[in-house]
Amino acid sequence: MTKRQSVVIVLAQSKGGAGKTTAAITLASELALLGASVTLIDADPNQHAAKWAKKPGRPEKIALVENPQGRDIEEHILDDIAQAKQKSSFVIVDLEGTASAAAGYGISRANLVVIAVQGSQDDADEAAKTIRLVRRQEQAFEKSIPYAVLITRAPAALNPKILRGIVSDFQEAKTPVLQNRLIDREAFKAIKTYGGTLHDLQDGEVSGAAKACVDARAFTKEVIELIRSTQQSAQAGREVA
Amino acid sequence: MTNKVRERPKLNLDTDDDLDLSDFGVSDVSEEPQVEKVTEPTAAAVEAVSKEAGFPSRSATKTTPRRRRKKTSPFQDQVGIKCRTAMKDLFQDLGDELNTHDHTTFERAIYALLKEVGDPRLIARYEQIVRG
Repeated sequence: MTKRQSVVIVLAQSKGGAGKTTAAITLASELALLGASVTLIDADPNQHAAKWAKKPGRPEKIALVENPQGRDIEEHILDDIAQAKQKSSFVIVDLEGTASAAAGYGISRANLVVIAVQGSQDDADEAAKTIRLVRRQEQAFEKSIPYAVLITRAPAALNPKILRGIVSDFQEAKTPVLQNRLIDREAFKAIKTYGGTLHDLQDGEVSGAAKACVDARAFTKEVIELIRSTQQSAQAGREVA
Repeated sequence: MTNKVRERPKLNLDTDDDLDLSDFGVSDVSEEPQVEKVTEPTAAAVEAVSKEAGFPSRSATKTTPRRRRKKTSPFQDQVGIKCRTAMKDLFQDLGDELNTHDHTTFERAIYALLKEVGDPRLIARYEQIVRG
């Protein structure tokens, strides 16, 4: 077996309510259900991910790092990430929906930054701000920080004009956009209410549970493939050098 | 819906087969991830770049409240002296001339008198009082 370094995935977006926590919980759950050890760092003072994790049904392989009120996230986030890397194969960081240095710290340690965007101009504008921060760090620290936009709360059937325009803008700016979207399904809300994973829900009782599971697994698979390809490219680059 | 949902059988979606994470060190559950020594940018460097990109530190805005030291005035007592009205005006005009408040004008006047009298013990007392 090839030993690999722990992977840090940061969910970023300087606007709140974009779906970062849902994406973080989904990703952490899917990876844990696949057998990976995961540390979920809730770096949002609102602690929504921590609230989910404290409910029954959290996969055993997910360790939680919470930031209760009064704990300075900016002061602790780098140490939290470093310690989590020692223990877990995957470290998922759910950042706060605001433009603060904590986002910069999280991004500086990321193997992949996933930027959650709903189909709104406000979300897209704030995502652009986060992308500028990623690119600025890449320049300043002369290292590659892979990132991709994740469309969240997308309508199941429609592809609205505004969302199409936003995706098109990102693509024109050569910003990777994940193919798989987190569709606006009741099941994603249900796990936040009752705890546990999407796979614990029964279709029929929670609308779209089975489809949400498929969405979650496809999203996770795409994230893993993206990390794998960026790591392989980086490895190839090192070998050439 | 109630929390009983946890007890229900899980959905069988056959989604596990197509995603292998063994290359991320998860096939052996006892194996801890390898921690490679990587040189990461320092916190100060990250903070500076973040600030430049419009992501300022929140800690920077948290100002430590400065301890306010209120200086206690040494002029605590009052003296009610009867005097001619014009003399009071003259006293205050003298203060204007010296650019001093009444209490300082009063002390300077006493000091001038002490020097005129020339009693070293009284002058020493004065100096001790003024030093506090």
